Amino acid sequence: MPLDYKDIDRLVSTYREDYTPDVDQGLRQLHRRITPVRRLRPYSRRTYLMGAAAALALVVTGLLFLLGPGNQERLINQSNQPLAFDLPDGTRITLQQGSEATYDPDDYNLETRRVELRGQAFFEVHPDRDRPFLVSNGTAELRVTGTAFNLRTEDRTMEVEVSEGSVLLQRDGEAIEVSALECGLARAGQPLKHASSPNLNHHAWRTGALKFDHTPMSEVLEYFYDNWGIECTWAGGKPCNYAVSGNYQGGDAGAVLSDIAKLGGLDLTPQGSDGKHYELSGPCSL
Amino acid sequence: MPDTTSATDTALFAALRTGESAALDELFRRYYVDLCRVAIRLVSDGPAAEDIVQEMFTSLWTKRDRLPEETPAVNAYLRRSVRNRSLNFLRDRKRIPVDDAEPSDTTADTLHQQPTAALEREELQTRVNRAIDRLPERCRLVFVMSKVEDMSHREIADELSISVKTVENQMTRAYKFLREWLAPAILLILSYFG
Repeated sequence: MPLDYKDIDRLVSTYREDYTPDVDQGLRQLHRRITPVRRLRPYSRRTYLMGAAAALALVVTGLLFLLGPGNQERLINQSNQPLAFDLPDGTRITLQQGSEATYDPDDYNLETRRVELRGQAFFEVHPDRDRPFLVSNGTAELRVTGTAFNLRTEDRTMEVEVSEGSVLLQRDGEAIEVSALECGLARAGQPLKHASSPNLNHHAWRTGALKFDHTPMSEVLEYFYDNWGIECTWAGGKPCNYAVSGNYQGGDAGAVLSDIAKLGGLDLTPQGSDGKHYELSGPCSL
Repeated sequence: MPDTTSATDTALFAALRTGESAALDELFRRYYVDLCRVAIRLVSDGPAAEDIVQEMFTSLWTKRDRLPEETPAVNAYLRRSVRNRSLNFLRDRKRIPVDDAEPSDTTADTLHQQPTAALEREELQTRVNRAIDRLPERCRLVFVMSKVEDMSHREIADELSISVKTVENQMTRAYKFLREWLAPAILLILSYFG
């Protein structure tokens, strides 16, 4: 007896109905993904300040637009806290203090959405498959259609850490895909690098959250430099590369670094008064 | 929103727009499994399917202030979001074939007949999964979008950038293969569906 269309239709309605993912585990995973973003949401004093600062920034931006060279819209964060801007397509850029993004308002969102970045920013790119979002710094370019990521540019370096979706990091015909909880690095004269980044520590300048799991101290110090420009030297030029574990939350990066040093039995001494230079000293148990 | 478990989907969606994280959790509990099934039917990859659904819920939270104000059919909205993300996933990885291919294996299924009702159900499910998975990829996508996701031939044609005529041809092809491959299980099918 052959099967008719109706039999087949009834049968295929069960296709993959046996696939049953773990809901509780999935929910825990979701919480881990959105926790850094939740802290930025309304009701916190910090967000209200961001809103007020954003309004001020729009005025500043307007002035800079009138005075700026060519037809470039310049977004600058001259405040002392992260500052959010909404672009015409609905993309949100949260600029770190001292950072700057520019785009051409006549060209933006026609065929592409092109932005130049100097400094560091968190991007929540409005999805648009037809108009790729492109960020460049002269060294490399990032291609996105809709996702969230942190981007740091410095001299001839571009570093991206993705919290949602994926991006394409490209330079001189070479390209790598960087997905959620991964990090990609383009540095002039070096091959593109790609690494896992489960803790999203490059987002810490904005979220205040750092998480380490047996992370070498040298890498911990790199995070402090990448996030806040904090530079540490070792007394006598002798580094102690012990492993750091733990979660840190707080706005004062210097205090967090001091805590990490103490847990390793070390002392942290400020060098100068700018809060950006420190010396680590003490016995190394390695 | 003190009790989310008894709230309607529409009420949960409205609460989500105001930043109520408990509403997000409840929607996740209600729809995670179903949405993962939508995704896996299209991308044929469990971890990727779960990731797509996770990303969709993450995006619901981060972009909640841009969600539509009136969403009477939340289930349909979520399914459509996951379906679009799944197709984007396939597109980004260039996994939507532009031409036809041969089925991977046309020999009859060799699963053992198993005696009890529960095992029969399990065996039938396995046969259906295997039969559809064996279809050439474009044929499989067209068939799943039509028969499991209830998309019109026009919608499928637009999503896959093919003609409606091609969709119809692929459907005919899919039925032909499935009729052949599922025939050995006819007794099992009749006993299960009565």
